[in-house]
Amino acid sequence: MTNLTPLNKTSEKRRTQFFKNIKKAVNQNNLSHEQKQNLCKQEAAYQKFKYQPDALSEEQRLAQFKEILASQSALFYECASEELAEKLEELLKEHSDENEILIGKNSDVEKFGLTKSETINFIEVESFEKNKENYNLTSALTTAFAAASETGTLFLSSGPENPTWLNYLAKCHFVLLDKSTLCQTYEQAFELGRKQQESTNQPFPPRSINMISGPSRTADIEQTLTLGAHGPIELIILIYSSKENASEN
Amino acid sequence: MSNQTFEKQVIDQSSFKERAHEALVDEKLQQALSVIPSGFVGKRSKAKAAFPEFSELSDQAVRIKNHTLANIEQYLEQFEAAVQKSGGQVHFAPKPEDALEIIEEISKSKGAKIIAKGKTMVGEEIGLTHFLEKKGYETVETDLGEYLIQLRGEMPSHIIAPAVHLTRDNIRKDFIKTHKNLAKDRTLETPADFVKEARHILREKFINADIGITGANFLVAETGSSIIVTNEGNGDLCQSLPKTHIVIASLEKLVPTLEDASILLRLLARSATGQSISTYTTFATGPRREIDTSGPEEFHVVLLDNGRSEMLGSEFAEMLRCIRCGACLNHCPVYQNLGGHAYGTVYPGPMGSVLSPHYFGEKAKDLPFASSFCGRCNEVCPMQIPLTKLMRKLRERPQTKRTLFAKTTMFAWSQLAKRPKLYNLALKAFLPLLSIATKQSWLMEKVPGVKAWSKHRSLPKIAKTSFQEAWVKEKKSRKKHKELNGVKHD
Repeated sequence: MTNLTPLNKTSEKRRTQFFKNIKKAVNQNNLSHEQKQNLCKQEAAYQKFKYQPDALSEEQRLAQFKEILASQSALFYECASEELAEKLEELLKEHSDENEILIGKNSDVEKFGLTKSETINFIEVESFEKNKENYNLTSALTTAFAAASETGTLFLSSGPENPTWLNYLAKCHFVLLDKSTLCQTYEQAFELGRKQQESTNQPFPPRSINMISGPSRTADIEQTLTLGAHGPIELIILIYSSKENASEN
Repeated sequence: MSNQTFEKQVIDQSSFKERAHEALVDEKLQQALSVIPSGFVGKRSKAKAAFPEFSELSDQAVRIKNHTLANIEQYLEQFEAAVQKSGGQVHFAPKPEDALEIIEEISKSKGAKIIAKGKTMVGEEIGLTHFLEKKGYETVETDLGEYLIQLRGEMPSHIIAPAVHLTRDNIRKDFIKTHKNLAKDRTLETPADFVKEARHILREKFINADIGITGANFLVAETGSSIIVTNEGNGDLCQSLPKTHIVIASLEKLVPTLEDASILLRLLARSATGQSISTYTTFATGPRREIDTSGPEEFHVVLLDNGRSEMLGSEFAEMLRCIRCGACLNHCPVYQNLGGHAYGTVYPGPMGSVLSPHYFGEKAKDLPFASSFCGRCNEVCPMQIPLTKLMRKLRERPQTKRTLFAKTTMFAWSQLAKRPKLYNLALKAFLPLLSIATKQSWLMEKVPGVKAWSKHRSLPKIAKTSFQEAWVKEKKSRKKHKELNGVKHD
């Protein structure tokens, strides 16, 4: 979408100088025989290494995910996909004075019949510049493509369904997570993302992958932890299990 | 920009010794620093204990960085190609001036007025905010800690907690002075009050910013992604709201793959704040795509060298593994007592004492002496950088600045240490003098060279004989004792 500025003379010169300095440094690195051997051993070990903690069962992953998220001040609710609408209505009443929720295009909300709700007003948004008036929004809803239980982390990707800015500007951030996409490690979550992008003929990684592990926080005032620094003050995760996924598992 | 202006922003002109003295007598600073041991140190220790794989991953992290640095040319080219493929652009900056010029050119071409800036140590290193302000751009630090020190025109005093030296009293005064549109009698007591006010003020800046600048914790060669790690979410607002996103990063941030980045991420937050992961970790790859409805329209990465290639080809190459977690600062007794400003550059603590002489040259040459060599920094470094070894090497360099007093005493001592007989003789002559001096404390205050030390402390009583003499005597008495008891010697 962007037009690349062609390299002008100065930038070409800078690039040449940059690589010249690197080349000089690499050639200068006169390592002893012992150091070289050590590097070779390290190299072999580097290539061989894979992070594989003991595999957890689905139940254990869920327990780990919940425990860590709770310690990171996130709220967490489980339900069946048919119950999502009802749950969301209930939570919105509890956490917001307004009945509006900002969502992206073609969001999962339609898939699960959420838009039929009579009490929630879903506002569909696109780019930030077109929706600037909503910058002090109270609630937003986005979807995670995966999660990793190891640190209680949600994985969200950019795209029309999930305008990235919704994750950071709302006071109260609701995230939908399909239970079957709860992995154990980051590597597994990335792999799932790769497959999902491939299935829709989109390159991986998407423009943005957002790993979110709780509401926004800071400890910049006398090292005291305070929530809601710039982003959401509350992160509310709705983990749902759908019938089709249940049969797959 | 002249070298002088640049140096003023990133380097304090006074000596480490002068600044250290000022820090020690600054009561407010000492009060602010007192939270470091219970905060960062305790939290890191818990986080490490709760993650048994830490050591194993630390070994792999070292291998990842060593491998990348050994093949850096290839990975730089791969990264550049990947960024271009995603529709972005990489700019190479051998020197700070180049990076500043590039960023200014982009800002100018976009007709930018407001620039929202996330936290970037490389930005601090090149004096980016000050430079852009001087060029007429309203440049706003959006990380809360950075914002607090921007209001005071100060340097950061910690690489991950830039305002760790400030108390609520300091901040209250600055907020009342700067946020003039708000009621003067408003309540600013709890940390939440301050955070709420900053959120309100900075949000206005975010939504109107034309350009967002962030740093990068890592750059991924295979995908052309930049990774930022924050707890506040400010970096994400900087890179998702404005139409142009500029990443400023240094060349050693590169890692080959997403999997490699995952390993390093597991060590970063645990070592830095003691969290298992920071709240937000974002992988940004190129500008808005055809299917996207939001995101920046332009994506630029400015890659800085500034002395790093020189380090790469030297005995200091290991320092380029540093992931800027700040663990060495938090555990350093010198840092804990002085805070970051005493170091006089934007990189304080043990890591800064190795880096600063390479980045800022002559002005930072007394920093390798800002260490007691206790070695805690080596122990806590997740990248296993032998910091004290590197500081020692810097001390040995001929261009390193030493005071005449230090030079003379070290020379005299080394001469004595090489000659045991002369050493004992000198000791014999010196002991009675020292014994008198410790009894008369006023006398110690007069002795040149030890005055600064003895002014606030008194020496313990000195033994009448030297250890060596006492040892000879003890050996003789043991021998006699054993002979009397009929024990054979080996």
